[in-house]
Amino acid sequence: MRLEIENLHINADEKEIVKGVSLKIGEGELHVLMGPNGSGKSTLAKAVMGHPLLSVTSGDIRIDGKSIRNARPDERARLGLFLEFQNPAEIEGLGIISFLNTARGSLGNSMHFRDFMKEVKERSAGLALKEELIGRSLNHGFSGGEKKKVEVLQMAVLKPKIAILDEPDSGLDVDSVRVIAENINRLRKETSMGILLITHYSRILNYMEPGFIHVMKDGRIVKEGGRELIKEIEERGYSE
Amino acid sequence: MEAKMPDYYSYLPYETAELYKRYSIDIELPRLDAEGAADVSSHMKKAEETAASAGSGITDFDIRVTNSGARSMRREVSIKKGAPKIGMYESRGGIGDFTSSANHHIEINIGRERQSRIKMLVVNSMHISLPIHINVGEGADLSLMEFYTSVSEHRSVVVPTHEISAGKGSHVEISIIHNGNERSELLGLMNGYAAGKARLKVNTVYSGSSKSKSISILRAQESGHVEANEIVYGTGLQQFDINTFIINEGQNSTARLESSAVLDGSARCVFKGFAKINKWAKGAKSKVSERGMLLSKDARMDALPDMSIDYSDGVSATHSAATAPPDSEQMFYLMSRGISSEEARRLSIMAFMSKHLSGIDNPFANETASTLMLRRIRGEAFENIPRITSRDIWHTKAEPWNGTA
Repeated sequence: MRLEIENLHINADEKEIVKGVSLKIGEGELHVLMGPNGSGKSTLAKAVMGHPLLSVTSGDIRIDGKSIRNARPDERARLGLFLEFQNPAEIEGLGIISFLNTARGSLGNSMHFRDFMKEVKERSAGLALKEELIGRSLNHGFSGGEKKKVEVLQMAVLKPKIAILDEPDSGLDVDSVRVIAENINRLRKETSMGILLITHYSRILNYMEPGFIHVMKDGRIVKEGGRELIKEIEERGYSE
Repeated sequence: MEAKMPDYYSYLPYETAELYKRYSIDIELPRLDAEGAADVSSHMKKAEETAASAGSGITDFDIRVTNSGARSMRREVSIKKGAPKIGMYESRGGIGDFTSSANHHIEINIGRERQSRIKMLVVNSMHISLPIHINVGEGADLSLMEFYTSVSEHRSVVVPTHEISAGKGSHVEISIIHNGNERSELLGLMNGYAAGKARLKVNTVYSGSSKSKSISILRAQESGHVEANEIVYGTGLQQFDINTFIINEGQNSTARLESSAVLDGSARCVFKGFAKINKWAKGAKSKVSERGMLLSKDARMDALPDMSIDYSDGVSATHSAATAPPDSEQMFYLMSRGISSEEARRLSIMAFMSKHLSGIDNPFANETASTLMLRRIRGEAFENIPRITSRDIWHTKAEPWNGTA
């Protein structure tokens, strides 16, 4: 599967946030999108997933050559797209298992419930998520780290083809960053999913092997390259 | 005999305020001489059949009430002829008259230190007045579930009246599920009392009936606890007027009122939650919370939480109210996982309701109420008594991707 973002312009409340971004993410590729706060990274991620309050004013989003610009979020997800939210919704009253079971059914996963539960438990253990947490309402009362891990758990169980990870490392301690990175790496190996990882910091990249680095500022991609860009940003920041 | 028009709110001081009057929905009590509908006997037969058909497996009921009479399989339960001569219903105009028309009343007496779980079914086929007196002894434990439905093909009014006395140190949970058909109307009255260190919790689920009105008064004595958990699901033209008064009468007593409504179509709900802390109730705690989810632009909820605190040292009192449509960020989140907008909406509603349904401790009442709510959310046809199929819960089917961008 291939995700193509072509010259995308995005407005929020009639203000242009993303001003012509193009990206191509293929199967098994790991792209990193870096940039300072307010550069439009999260807006881009949400718009690609089809957020109803963001308006794509021009450009296109394609999956395997087919435009999804007018597709609903659930339709995009069923094509294999996944967004790991920076601030996932808290839904009190909706159990994680019920939610995940509904989601996998919606995506056509016909795995037996017993096997599904086995996978949920295994993946949770791999993420060092307490079993008690899995029995609770979705993200309700969770710490920042727990929410990030539950997002990765969802990705592991739902197995998308292209995942956009919006700051999976923000607010995490060193050990949790490593656990999250290891789980993402494991999934990449297992499923060959393409990943667009959004981050401010290079810390998580110490555990990963990104092939492509993109730097975004003021709604535009201003620099692209390989790992060498990470070192450059570490040394000089985003201001240069 | 001709019944007087109802004046049931005139005796409550809170209801005399103009503000409250403006938000009242009236239920006209039937003229008692108008009960002779031509096909009453066939309705009564249907009610008997409905009650009898609910008699197996998980839906087994200990007490069954129809217009023909009440039957009980439990020793703690007495079926008495006629209306009781005590309580809050005697001298109150239409209600008093209507209640006195009851051909039986129910008394539930739980002895000291005893434990009891009782399930009651009420099937109404015309108009029914049902006084229920519950006396729970010291240190006893009662969990009572009451399920109301209606099979009448004409306008019918159900008037359950509860007098509840929870003895010292007792634990009492009453879970009432109203599932009358669209021709039925409900007028519920309750007077509950928790003695020292007793816990009295009343869960009420309002699902059916075209109009529902309730007036409940729950009082907590020293170190006693009263709690009302009210759940409304309304669609079409359904109307609900829920008046609940929680009163801290004794020191260190606690009182809590949680009201929630999901309203679709042109449904309307008024929550009037009133909390009072008496002047000698040092250390009392009180909380009133009213929440609504509106699913259509024509649905309407009026939340009127109110508090009167006569003792100010060491008491805690909070009230809140909020009404909103389903959260758009929640919807986006759910849909981003492949869940269709319809299913995401259902999950969002069910999540909202689950928060409140989880307050029902009685597992059978919880399961019954959850099943009923789920079926209503799905828009399924009215069923007198829903079959409990918990495996249904959260089942979902996505729409296939049609390939169009």
